[in-house]
Amino acid sequence: MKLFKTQDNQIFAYELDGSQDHLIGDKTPITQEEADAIIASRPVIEVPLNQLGAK
Amino acid sequence: MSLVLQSSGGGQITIQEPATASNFTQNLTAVSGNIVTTGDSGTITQGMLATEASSIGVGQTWQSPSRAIGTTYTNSTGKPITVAVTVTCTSGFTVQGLIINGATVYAGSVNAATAAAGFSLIVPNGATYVTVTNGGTLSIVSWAELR
Repeated sequence: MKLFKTQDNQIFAYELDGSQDHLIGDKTPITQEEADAIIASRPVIEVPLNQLGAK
Repeated sequence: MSLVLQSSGGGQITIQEPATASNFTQNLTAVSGNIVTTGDSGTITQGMLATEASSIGVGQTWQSPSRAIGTTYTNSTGKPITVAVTVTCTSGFTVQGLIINGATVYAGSVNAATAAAGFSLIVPNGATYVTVTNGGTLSIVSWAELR
């Protein structure tokens, strides 16, 4: 998969064969290491179970 | 002009000519068999065949693609897919699932830290999907897709 990130650091993966290239848009290509670093840097948000229904 | 086949049971089957000035040919298959309908009359349309061909599970196989927590994927297979995931979570009493086209769908849960949760969800054609948990950090144990 090819990895990309949006301006708000959301990570997207697309097929290597180019079949999903039309979905890339203005996302920025990143390496696996960059993706791993972004995911590792995300804060862990705990949502109580009794509040999930309000989402 | 029409051709009527009289049944020994009392009924009959009528082959009716088309109301057209053009010539058409309808070939009979060179094999034995029956055309089955669900009632006294019926038509199998191209739309029905297309719907059947696009049904989940038809022409699909279970695969084990490489997937990562927190990365968004897109189903562009042309059909709905089933995603079956087992994850562990660092926090107990949490629920897990997928965000499918922006909709959070929790389908599994763990009641103890590092315990595993398994769930399967259908992802429509064209939809994006990414793992979600309401707490803790996830690790993939297994990931399979019927696609």
